[in-house]
Amino acid sequence: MRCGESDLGWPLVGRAEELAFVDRAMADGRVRGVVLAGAAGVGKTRLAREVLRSAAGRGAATCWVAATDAAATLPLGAFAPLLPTLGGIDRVDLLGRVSEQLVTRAGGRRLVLGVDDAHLLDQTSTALVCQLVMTESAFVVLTVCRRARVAESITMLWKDELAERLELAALSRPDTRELLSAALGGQVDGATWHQLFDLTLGNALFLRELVRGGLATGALRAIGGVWRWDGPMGAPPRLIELVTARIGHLTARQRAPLELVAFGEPLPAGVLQRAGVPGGELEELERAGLLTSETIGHRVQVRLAHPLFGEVLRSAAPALWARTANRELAEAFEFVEGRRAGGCARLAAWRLAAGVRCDPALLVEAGHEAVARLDPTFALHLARAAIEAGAGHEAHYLLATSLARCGHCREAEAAFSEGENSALSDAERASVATERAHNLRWGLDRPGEAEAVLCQAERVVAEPAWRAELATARAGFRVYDGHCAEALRLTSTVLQPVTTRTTTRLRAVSIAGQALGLTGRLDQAIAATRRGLEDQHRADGEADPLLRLQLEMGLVAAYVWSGRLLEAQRLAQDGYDRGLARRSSLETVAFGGWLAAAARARGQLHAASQVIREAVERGRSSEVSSHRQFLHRLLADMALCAALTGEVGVAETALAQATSLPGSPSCVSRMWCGLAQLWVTAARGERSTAVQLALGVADEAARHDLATFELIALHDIVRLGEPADVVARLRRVGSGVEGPLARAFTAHATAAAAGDGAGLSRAVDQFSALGAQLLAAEAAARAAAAFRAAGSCAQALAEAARARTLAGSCEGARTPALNELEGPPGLTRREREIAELAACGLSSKNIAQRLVVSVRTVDNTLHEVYGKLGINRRAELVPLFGAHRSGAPSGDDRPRGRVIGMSRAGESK
Amino acid sequence: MDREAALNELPEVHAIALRLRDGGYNNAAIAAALGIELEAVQPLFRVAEAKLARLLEADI
Repeated sequence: MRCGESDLGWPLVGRAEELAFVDRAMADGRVRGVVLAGAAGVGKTRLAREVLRSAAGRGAATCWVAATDAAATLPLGAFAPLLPTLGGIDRVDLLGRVSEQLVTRAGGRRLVLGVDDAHLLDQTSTALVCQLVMTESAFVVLTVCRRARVAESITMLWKDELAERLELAALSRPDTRELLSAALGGQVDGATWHQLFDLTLGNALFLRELVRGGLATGALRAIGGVWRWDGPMGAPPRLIELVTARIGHLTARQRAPLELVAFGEPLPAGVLQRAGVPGGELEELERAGLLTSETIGHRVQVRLAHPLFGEVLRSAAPALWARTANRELAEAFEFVEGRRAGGCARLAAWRLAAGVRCDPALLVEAGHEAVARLDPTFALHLARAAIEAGAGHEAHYLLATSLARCGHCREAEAAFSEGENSALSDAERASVATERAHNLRWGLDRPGEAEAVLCQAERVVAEPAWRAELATARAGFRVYDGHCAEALRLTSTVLQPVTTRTTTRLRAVSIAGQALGLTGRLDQAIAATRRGLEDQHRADGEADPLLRLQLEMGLVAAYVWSGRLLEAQRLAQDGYDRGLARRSSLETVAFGGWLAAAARARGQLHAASQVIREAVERGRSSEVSSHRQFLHRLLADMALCAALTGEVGVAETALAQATSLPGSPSCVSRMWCGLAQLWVTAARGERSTAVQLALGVADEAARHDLATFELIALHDIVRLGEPADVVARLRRVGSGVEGPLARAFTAHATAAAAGDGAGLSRAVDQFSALGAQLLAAEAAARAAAAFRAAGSCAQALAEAARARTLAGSCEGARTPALNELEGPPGLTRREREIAELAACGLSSKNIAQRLVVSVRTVDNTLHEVYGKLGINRRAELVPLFGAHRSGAPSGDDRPRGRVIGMSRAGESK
Repeated sequence: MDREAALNELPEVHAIALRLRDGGYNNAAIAAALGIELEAVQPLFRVAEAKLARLLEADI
């Protein structure tokens, strides 16, 4: 997707209600005008022009004038372009003649006069506007800047209720997102639009200039169909000019405190006073609209009135003064606030920016704060500075951890290896071993070495609390290897003793929750993880967002698998929004993935595709790429979403990317990829092959006691139209999986296997009650077929209508069950499968190879199909089957039955 | 979406205006708090209410 500056079309967004307000004012005979007021750049002119355009569309005559500083001293300067030469007439006559001229030009139609920047009008123009209003010769639409001084006669328009004064607000976050999407012509990455909003606060002019600057430098570009800003988001020259003009002329006395705030905001007022800024000056700057203050608890926090002021002030400040400002801030802050929790990172940042010597202990403490805040890039910077300042083991450990979290996994392993002998205490040995093992396992795909590191640490660590830490790390690996029983055994050794540290216990709860969820004990998983979150909140609030992320992700997964889809979506959305606010790629990717899964489960396929696409692109960035298990699942989910909407090409590409990621996928990753592959195969029209693949997934899941995945795979076979093959097994597995979704799966499978229309209809109700609209639609389609087979035409029609309504809410869903709804009735599943492939242009030989049957079988089946449908030739199949499928299979003859990592029989490679 | 969530989706000025009104503040106090003309408060409410109604309707 390419978009240059000149390609940008900036539509009017977020102003529908304002336009409706002005329309109502125009229709109200008592109102003679509207004054649109607001800050510069908020969109007053754009809105006023739209009002005039709309009025012209309704038959009004419109005129537009723009007042300027230059014309402000010229009588009728703003109106000059509209007027003929009028010489030798006095002022009173002049106004009359000009009014008359304007009305005459309207030719009997209603005159709507737009005046931009009415606060800059000269006296004569102001008088003219008021005369037009008083004589009801025109409906006026004026724009004025909020803080500007407006002529009294204009002010009297709204004071005397002749005109409405409407304050225009900056755009909201959702409106900003919509505007960016419309202007760029595509999806915009969440972190990008979030940051653009944070910097512009919804000011349309600033937004436009920032985006233009980003396009010009290439920082803003489309990657994988998603617009994203890479690198720091700085103000381009034109925006700096605009903002500088907004700030206005500053005296040296005003500039210095503003620059201090620019380098340190938000700042307690006490810190600024300690740095030599009198309280009176701060109040003066606040009155001038350059600063804002907010009381939080007993502190008054001071910020610049707009984030862009900071960008501009910082970029204009001389380098030496910048260092001085940072030094003064550090000294004042430390004096007033001390080195309280949460303040070390700021102190360290100021001292480093000032180029002054920094206490190594402060740098290490600040580094831990940055790691805890999920800001590994800053943590890395602090770690390097700490080592340079002479810090010991802790700084080296911080360096290695930060390198790993930034995705520099090889350098991290080198740093861990170098520092392992300097770890002296059990705490240090266990911490290093745990982080190193995670880096080896997830970042470098060296599971054997990861285990060896943990084993080695277990031989030398004696303290129970730290041995528990090692056991917890090992339990985490076991879950992903599909050894949930072993994971639960390990976590139980950690959860019971009182010597276990709180964070270790909570990590163990998170892992146990995941293991319980994968083995079908979803209610237990939910209960345990919820307790863990409550305990974490009581223990340390927000001090460990990574731990909170792990607990919440486990909870979201359990909610999705048990069928509590609304709760899953809310929790995932909250986590995703927190990630945006914190600018944490890890959180936005992790929660984004589960947000997409919850949306997909609810049938919101378009929304799911958008979220997953963004998560995949951001997941590929170096910071999150170290969490490779995310990428497998994200790409598999992307393939699954695309397959469910019939976008075979997109699905195949995503699946290929998932399966070609470096390293070997974990057992859980193979489950995700397996499920995706079966649906991609089904989307290609190869239903029988998809059923075999699903059986393969179910069998491997069974071998690892992953009851949740086994149940999903078996139910997928029901969805593909072969319930009789699996109903007994599904009932058995389903009886061991907790939650309403498992019960709905069982009811659906039982009814489908029996051809029980009423039972299928009840299954539709069950799925609908859970919000699983796609499953409900598919069950309704099958209910229609069952009723039709039983001769109950009315019920068949009713269920078919219900299926269409449900499918209509599923944003482009195209699955085999829904395709049957639209295709010709009366065919068996095998006949339909062969007919669909033939309709897509495949030869009998191709079809035979795909479905692993003989060519004679294909031809005989087609002959049966022609007979049932009353047609004679292959070409006549196209209008009956081809129109509702967008994903035509390729003519490739290669059999596609093998699951990556699993044989047809389900044996792992 | 409940009313509180919908208020969070509004432009800040509109959300603050409605919250202040819900809190029992009169128009003069609201105008002073927002730094706008007194005569602009009622139009602001009308637009804010319309935006809120749209958000609540869209979620149904």
